[in-house]
Amino acid sequence: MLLEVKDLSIEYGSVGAPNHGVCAVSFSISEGEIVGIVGESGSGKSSAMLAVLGLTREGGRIVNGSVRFEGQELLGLTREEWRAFRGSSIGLVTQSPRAALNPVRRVGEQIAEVYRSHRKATKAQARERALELLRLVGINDPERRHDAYPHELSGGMAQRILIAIALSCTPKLLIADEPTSGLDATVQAQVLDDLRRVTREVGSSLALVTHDLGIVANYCDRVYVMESGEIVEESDVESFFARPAHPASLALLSKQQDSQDEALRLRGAPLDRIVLPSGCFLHPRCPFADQASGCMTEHPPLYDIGAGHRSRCHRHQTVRDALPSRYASA
Amino acid sequence: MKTLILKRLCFVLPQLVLVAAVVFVLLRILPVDPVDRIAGQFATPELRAQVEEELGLDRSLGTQLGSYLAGIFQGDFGTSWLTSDPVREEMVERFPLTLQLITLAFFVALAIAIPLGRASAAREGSRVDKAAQSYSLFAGAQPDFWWGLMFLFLFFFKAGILPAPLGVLTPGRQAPDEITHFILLDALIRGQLGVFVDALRHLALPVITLAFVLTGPFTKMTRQSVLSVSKSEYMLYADATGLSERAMKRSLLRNGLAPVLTLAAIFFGFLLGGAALIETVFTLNGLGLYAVQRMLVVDFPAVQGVVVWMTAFALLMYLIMDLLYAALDPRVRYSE
Repeated sequence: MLLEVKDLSIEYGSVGAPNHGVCAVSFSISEGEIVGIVGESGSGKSSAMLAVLGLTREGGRIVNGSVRFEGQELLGLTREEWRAFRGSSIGLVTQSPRAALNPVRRVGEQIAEVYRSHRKATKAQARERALELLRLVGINDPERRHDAYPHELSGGMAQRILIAIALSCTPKLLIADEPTSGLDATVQAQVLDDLRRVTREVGSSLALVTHDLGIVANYCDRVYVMESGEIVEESDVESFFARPAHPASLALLSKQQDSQDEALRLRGAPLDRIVLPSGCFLHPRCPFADQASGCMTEHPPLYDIGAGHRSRCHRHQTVRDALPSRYASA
Repeated sequence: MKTLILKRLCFVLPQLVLVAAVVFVLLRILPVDPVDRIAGQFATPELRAQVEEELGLDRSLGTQLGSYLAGIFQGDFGTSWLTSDPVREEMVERFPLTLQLITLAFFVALAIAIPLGRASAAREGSRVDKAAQSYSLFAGAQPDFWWGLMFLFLFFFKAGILPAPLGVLTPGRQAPDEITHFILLDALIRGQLGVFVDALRHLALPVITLAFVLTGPFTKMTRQSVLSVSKSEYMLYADATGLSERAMKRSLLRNGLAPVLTLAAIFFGFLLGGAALIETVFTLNGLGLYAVQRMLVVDFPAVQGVVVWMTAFALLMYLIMDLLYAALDPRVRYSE
């Protein structure tokens, strides 16, 4: 196993009354795999992936859990060890590429600088490497683009620069956090195709964080669904789209297909997780919640429903049957 | 870059003319009669008429303004009504002292404020940060001339380690022969170390006073700017790519300082005004003291000259800082 995360918990805000951003999340990624992490915004998927790099957004802290990469425990690394690890073993691509690039430096220099932070290389060698990466991620006229500033690039171009930075040291794993959310549909597909192509070329795994199930269907081997800071469903992609087994997955799917079917939607927006609800965290918003099944009183475990497909729902059987067959072909 | 400079210069000229014209007119609508002051209260009508003609006040306001502006373009700021010397010469004689004073204060303030602002941004909410913040508030809350008097009381009167506020050299000490008009430079070039140290000791308190007040806002600006950069998406991303500590620090400094520089240039303009009070407190014969003295004796050409001169100087500083900003931030270059 390349990456193995166990019981990872992240809290935000005050220590006395923390907001539970991520609650005891476990997932794994093996070599060469493309794994989708999906969930509505605020479900904790970005926080969980950032934590794999030992980072949190402002005010966040990792309070519990274990992150193992190639068997080595990462939580507890020193500052310098983290610095050496990030970028060289795991590359990150974020969702707003132009904000992620330093506005006053040429993009080629920014690629070279990351490369030189991890590898012994002269300036000329680093520049060569930057040009090579620009070609690799599908940028025409790399010599000219090398000298461009971030504000001179289109969104798709800037996203390719981030991919080049993330791949500069051929990491074993690439984390792409909503890599195409700011791009229009045609560019989206191109960037994702390029992303899949280059990760295969360099032989790394890819963790694709998204709220778009279409992307999961087209690009991923396996999928984790996050909701309320938890993993609520995990499965291989075929089994998942054949019969999704959690209300959160159904909600994402019906949103994707612009369904008007209220019976499949979650009610309202994600709640603050300062006081966690009793029972299933999702029950205040869930159309399937039911007193008799214990949704209000008993926190559901991840039920194994066969062939590695798991669902954190007391009523997963009902949920699996709820989806009209016309959705299942997504 | 060249077009940027040209564009800015096109703005500078009309600005200068406008300032000159406004000052010229404002002085003349003041309820004081310069002829009264110069000819004396009991002058005969003939003498009054003669003085009026000599000062050119018998002509229409428009004609006076026209010839004044025309003069400025040839570097002629008119003749002082008090001394009958060319205003330009009087200013050239006094400006170097003011420039030394404010430049020293400016750089001393930056030299303290940048590390202090960075340190307090690096540890937001720490004791260093809180101390720096309260200092910024405290130093800026009292006027600079008041601080000047306080420092005089402490360092000259009580401790006796710095000289009395009577000019830039101890009375009786000969100034070095002029080369650059900057007394510190001239003393160094002539190898008169004693004079150099003496001038530095006399400049110490006024410089400390101005720098003390200026360091407050500079620290605040640096702190704010560095803080916003350190919390930016791109610094978070740089951290996530394992960028080396050295490269991170360089980005933080470069991106954080660019806005501080432009803001600082505006303070340089303010300093020119502040110098008038400080020079008065410390009896430094610079352009500020000159303006104050000449205003009191209704020497209009001198006052006009100082205002136009200082405006030109402030505009020049803005231009330099803008160019520096453009050099540091490519986005400025392209949007211009």
